[in-house]
Amino acid sequence: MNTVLSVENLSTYFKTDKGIAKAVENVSFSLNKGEMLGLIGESGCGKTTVAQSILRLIEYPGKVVSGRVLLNGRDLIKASEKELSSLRWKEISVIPQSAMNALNPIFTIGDQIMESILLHENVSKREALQRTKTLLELVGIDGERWRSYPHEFSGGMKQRVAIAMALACNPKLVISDESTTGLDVLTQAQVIALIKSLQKKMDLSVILISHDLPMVTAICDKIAIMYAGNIVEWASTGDLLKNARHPYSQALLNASPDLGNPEKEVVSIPGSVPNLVNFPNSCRFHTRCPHAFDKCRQEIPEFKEIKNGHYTACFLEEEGNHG
Amino acid sequence: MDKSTLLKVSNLKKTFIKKSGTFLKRRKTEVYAVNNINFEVNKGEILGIIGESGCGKTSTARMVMRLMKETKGEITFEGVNLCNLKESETNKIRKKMQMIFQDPYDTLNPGMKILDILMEPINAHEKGLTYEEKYQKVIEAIEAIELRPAQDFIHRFPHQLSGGQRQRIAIARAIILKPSFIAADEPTSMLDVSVRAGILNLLLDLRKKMGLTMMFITHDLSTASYMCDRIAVMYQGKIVEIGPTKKIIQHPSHPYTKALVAVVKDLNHFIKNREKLILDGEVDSTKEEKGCPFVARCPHKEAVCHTQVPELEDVDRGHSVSCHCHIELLEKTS
Repeated sequence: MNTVLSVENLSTYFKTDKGIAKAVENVSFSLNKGEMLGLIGESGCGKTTVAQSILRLIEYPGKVVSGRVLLNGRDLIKASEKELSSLRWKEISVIPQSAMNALNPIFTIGDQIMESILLHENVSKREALQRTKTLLELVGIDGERWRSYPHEFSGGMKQRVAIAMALACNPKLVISDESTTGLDVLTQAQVIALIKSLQKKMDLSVILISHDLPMVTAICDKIAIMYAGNIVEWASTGDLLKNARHPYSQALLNASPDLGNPEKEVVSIPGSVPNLVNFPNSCRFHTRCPHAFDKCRQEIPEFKEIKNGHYTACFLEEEGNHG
Repeated sequence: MDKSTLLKVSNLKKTFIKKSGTFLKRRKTEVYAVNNINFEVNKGEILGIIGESGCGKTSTARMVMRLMKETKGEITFEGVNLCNLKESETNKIRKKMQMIFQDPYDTLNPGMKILDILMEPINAHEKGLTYEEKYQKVIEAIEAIELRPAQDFIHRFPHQLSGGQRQRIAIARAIILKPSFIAADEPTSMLDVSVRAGILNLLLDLRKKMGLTMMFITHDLSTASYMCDRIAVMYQGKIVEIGPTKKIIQHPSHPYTKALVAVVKDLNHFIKNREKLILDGEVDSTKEEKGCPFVARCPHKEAVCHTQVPELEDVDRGHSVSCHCHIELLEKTS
């Protein structure tokens, strides 16, 4: 399989009054063609910052300080603004967090979808309209509704429009940033089902950013778990469910109730997420980790492969006393 | 009324007026938030109310708590009909029933210290206590919600606490008067997964220690199944299915409940069989349907569903469903 996106040692820092906040540090992962990667973590752990760094949308006071983002071999971090605008939509596109706010209320949805097609491809207006209609049909909306304004749609349908828009220029990579959060359970499942079926149909690579572990485990091929700016574990879904190695991943799996297993006792993780401003050089989970020892408080664990395609950053792996 | 029943809601209705049209052709339409619901909460049990946003879960809770006036219906708490009470009598009842709200960032006054926040309910309902006695009560309440040592917390302001700690303070405020009934309105939906479990376990623990009866409102079926003894499923202002948690999860009978359970139990199964479980449809609460409220999205609908409103019928001891077709459905699936 060929790699579409590879992120290597990406770090994004934010300048604050109190010092530098290391919002994303040393994040590495890659994505193959036609693969769906779930990026999971609690609020404030840096999921969206990773997505924005990949898309080069980080603005002052934030900055990508190091690392590479290779999209089909081309480094996005070094690309010029002009190169970027030719890549956005055509190669890489985003389904935004809340479609309610992502659509412009004073233009019809047809106009908004056509805009990106006309901007990026050399086609006539009529052709663009034809493609817009096909796109709407693809996401399950009557093509003739291109004349409607966003307020005429329900939340789930707006989300579908946002998906149609993201697919307008046949991108290779789609980043879905919490695109189903805030929708009702059933609508959410329907939108997810749509993303999944389109991904298969169009052989897309998808990064699905979410905090909903059960949903992500059900549909993603691989999962990366983030905690406080680091990816702590990256593995195939099956490996992660059966054999989660990092204490945070294990705790996260035990934290939500499971309908299929009513006997399961849910356990919370004690403590709270540390402040990332001027964070000392140590494992970021050591304040809440039940297995933490001296080394965890003094050094940063390396993110490395422990088994075929299963990566984690934890000193317990070296010590061999994983319990 | 049965002795073991603490709260009984009968034929409860709430309508809002929606104004539309131009200046001269002003039209007023009635929107049903809660449409003729009946349920009971027994002593010591947790009743879960689940449903999507806008289905009337919160309106129901607010009416029970007397934070909102009902349009029609009766709410009986410990044998007293709450709907006919005067303001002063309602205030006395409030001591026995308390609410936990959804957003711990909004419900605590940012200008008050934790001590003052927790003193408020005591000052309102238990006049005549000395300061030491009140202080002691506050400390006890904070210890009950597992924030230790309590002395560390009482002089803090809400912004100095994390989301989970704030929700714990909100719970402390609800239990400080030792109420017999608590309505928790999505108490964990604003919290991160890692602290959510702590709040759920705390509520279960408090119920055991204090013998609380609870109404637990949520949109998450797996949380409801963890917390509740019985679950009521609401759709468009109506209860479409109510019964013991086990039965709802294992034998959902209403098509809406079936779809909900399928999504949470096995998302992949839902994705594959989407058309058989639920139709894409717009939900319009402004017009009161002549027939079943779920008819627009139901994959099993028949002619009768468009014309006749189904009644909540008992199918199996304590498990009731409001659907014209559930019997045929049961046969089809089993």
